[in-house]
Amino acid sequence: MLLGGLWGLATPMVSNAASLSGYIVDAFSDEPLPAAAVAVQGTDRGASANLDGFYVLDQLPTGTYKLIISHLGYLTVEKEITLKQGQIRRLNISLPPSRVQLAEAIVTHHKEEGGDERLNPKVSTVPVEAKFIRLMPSLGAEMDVLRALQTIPGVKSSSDISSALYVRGGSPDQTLILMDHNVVYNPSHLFGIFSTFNADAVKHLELMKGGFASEYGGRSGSVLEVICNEGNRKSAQGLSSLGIVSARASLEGPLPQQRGSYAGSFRRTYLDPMLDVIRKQGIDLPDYYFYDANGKFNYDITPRTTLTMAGYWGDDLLDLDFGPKDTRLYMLMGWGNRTLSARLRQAVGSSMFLSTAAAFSRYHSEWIFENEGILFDKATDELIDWSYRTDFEYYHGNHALKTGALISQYNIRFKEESQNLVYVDVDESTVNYSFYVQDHWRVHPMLEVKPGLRFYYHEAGEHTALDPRLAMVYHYDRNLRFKLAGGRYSQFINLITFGEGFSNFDVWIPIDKSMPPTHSNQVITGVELDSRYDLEHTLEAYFTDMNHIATFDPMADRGEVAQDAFVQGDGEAYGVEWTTRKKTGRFNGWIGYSLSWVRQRYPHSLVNDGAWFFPKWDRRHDFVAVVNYPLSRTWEFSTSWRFNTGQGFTQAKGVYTIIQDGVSKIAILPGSKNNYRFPADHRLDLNFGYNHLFFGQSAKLNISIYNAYSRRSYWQRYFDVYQNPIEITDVKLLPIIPLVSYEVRF
Amino acid sequence: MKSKITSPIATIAASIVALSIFGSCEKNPTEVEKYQPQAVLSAYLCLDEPVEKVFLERVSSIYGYYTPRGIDDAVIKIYRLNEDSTKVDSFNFRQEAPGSCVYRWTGRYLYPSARRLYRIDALTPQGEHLWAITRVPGAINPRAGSVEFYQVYPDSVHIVRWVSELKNSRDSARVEALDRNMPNLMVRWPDVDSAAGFEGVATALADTLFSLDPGTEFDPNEPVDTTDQNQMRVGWDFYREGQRGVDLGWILFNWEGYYRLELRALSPSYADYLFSLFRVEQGLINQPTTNINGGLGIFGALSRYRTHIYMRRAEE
Repeated sequence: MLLGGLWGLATPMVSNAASLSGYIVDAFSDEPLPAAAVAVQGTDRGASANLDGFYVLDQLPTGTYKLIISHLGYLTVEKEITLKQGQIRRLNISLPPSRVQLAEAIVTHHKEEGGDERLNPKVSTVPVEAKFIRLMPSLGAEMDVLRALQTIPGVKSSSDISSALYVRGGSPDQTLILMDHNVVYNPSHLFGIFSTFNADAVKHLELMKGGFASEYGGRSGSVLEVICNEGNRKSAQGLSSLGIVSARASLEGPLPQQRGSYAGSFRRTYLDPMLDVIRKQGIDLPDYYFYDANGKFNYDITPRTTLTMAGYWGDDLLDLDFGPKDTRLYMLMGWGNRTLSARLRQAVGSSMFLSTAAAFSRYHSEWIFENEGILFDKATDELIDWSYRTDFEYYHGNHALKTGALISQYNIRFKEESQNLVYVDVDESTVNYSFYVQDHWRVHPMLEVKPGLRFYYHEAGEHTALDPRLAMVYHYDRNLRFKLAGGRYSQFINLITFGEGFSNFDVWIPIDKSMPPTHSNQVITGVELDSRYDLEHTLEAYFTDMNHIATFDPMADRGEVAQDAFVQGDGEAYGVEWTTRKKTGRFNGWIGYSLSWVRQRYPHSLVNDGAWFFPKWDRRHDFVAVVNYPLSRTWEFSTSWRFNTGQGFTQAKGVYTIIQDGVSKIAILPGSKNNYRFPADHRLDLNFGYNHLFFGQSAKLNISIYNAYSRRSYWQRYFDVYQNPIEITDVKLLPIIPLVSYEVRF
Repeated sequence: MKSKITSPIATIAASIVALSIFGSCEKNPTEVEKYQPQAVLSAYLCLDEPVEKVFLERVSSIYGYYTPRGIDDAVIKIYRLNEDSTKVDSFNFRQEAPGSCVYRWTGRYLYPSARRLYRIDALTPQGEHLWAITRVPGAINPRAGSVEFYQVYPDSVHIVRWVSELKNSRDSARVEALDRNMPNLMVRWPDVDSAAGFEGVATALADTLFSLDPGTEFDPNEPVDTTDQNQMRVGWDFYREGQRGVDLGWILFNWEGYYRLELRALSPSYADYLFSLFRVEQGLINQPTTNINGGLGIFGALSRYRTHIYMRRAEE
């Protein structure tokens, strides 16, 4: 009602107004450009395209205008148009990629106007183009989306070997990860070392670190929106790549009669044949591989209606046969994701956009440990999420209204058993309904307000929640903006993860009648300054109050409802983040610093005996610098350096003897959880790219040096109680790792 | 256009960051330095077996050579209780020697009875009062034939059973010789009153040290410390309430010779304690649960059933 009232009061109607709408696309491939910007020169009007590249400029007075269209990584385009009285004009705009020589991410900036963030400033949101990720140094020469995001201030990892995202103090399950608008539940390969997102398949990312809009729901922390390539609508092209760890291939192109496009990519490790050779020498080595495949298919049913089918299929499998020759042990670990979605998007009239999608997402994992037919332990987990969503955008004057609904059915089966006993058998089905409405209202040329509401009804336990959210941006002048955002964020599904840092057997359990839903209250404020057309400084402070957060109950060993597996507690996260980003030019990148605190407690549980503690991802200071620079016409260079406070670990208070019926064992008496910290970590990664022609095709040799000066970060403290005096070993992570990969585009 | 307030904003921002950095220079937590070492009391009541000793120790520093530090001159008593927790009678324990952690029985023996409540009290000269209550589980009754160690040959009806306890491990006339080519060993057990978990313990007897798998995990020429009880205790597992059987893999048995197989029914607090030790090893909790008020350790109760096997090397 409030929104409706505001809507009515604040929409000045221009009687002779015209309307302009359309798609902003890549000039070479005709792919839509998410979040591209259109500014009307000489006015305060402008618009930002949605994630489908659709923009609307409504209620424009008649006249002749110069449009400035811009997008990061593309040349800025100026276009003159004349609008007549009452005209509803459709205008698709093409932006040429700013490929200067062979360095893809370098942008030649022709005009000052039309900076992305000024037209649709968002609080705590970081857009990242996939082109940029492809330039960044990475572990194993594997371009990695999530690892690239870990270089953003406010985003932390639990260790060097984890690609999981810990955003502003939230655990990984508090980040909603959407790939082509569909939820991905476990975005990791190789125990979390690599992410499931093949960088070749990704076009655009947007990380909302907090204070996100009502259109996103179901997580209490942050949102990562991953948009995959739609495929080149003009010509077919491909890429193949060989690295030390894996091989990749991708192909994209237009459908017949230019009615759409397709894009597909595939990646697989090939360590297994090498391991097999070693195994044949009688050495017990595990067999391991992972693969993933992405596919997307777009078909234009009409010029204004497009059907998109998108899917992902990926698996990890590790098995090991070992032990004495006549009584072998067998271990198997496997996990994977499947997603499939069908989405219909339609530009309705001049100022409406409708999107309807049905989606399927499945995450499964399996763990088996047996000896000659005796099952020591077997755990299987499956989460199937069937969802249907519809979103409706309506642009009117100074308003961009968006409303929609999401229905998600969760089917979960988690079973753990041994030869003779079923420990856990959770078999749950529940439906979560949510509805939202939000507005982006330009109250004044200097003030933008984004109010929103999201309502939930969760069938299991009949839980309801109403999440109000608000974001405001005040433009002090063209270069200086003040931001404020906050709200309530509910979550109805939680992750049990067995250990911090590794990701191999994750179990998602929905909230049921035995537990209240998790929710957080967030407040964020900040200031953003463009000191030059390509230099942006951001300073943000945030506070998050986390309620009913859930973690694995350490004394749980069997159960049938959520409460049997979880204990609930509360937490708080707060801090300050500063980022200076040079967005364009030969020399580009960012430096950032974050100062943050994260605390949690789980009262009435054995997790730190119910007292407050700092989780492992609490790092007080975190400084990062990322730089890209083309060394010559053929050589690219990128580097990142990170310095952060050391990881917490649990220092022992003492030692004593555990007596068990006459048998004694020396035991460590640990102190409170993570009561000490290792020395600070710092690491330099380098990446060199050599672009050249290979049999007439564009090719690139990547040389990646991970941890260039081999400063190994501390991970865990280990006490060897079988030595006297007790031997204390600090386990360190990866040393310098130089690796190469080679890719050919055709 | 240069903003008029850009410079003040930058100054304020820089000041906030600088103040935050200086303000966040925290000292390392001092919990460990301030820790006052606690007393650890460990005592077990085994059904129908005399309670000979209890253990009282002070937690030591993790640095330097570790020798358990006994607490001198503590007064330790175990009381037999009625169901309403009133004391029936008491049994006294006295320190074996100054500095020792062992307190031995004095006076008459305590033979714990099935399903009965007992309480332990320890008063240290430093004024600590440690106490706990436990209930002894019922017997695992072999005479009922409900505890069975047997093998099932899949292609026949040949079943080998052991249902009686051997008094002497050398009494090979009653012990089956097994090898790894045979079907797996299976164990089944009944419900036991007042028990909340079960523990299986297989122990290699001290003179049996030839590897069943030479050249791989154990070298038959490598000396093995037969005085190390933990080395000889080859494990098995812990089972929560509800489990009534398990199949044992031959992977448990690495050496040729005699093994004692022991199945224990555990009191609830003892079962929790064992499970929490497992979780401590996994790093999920800080320290094992304890039913000792005023300190650490365990006052556990159990009943047990034992049998023996002989492992021989499988023919190639």
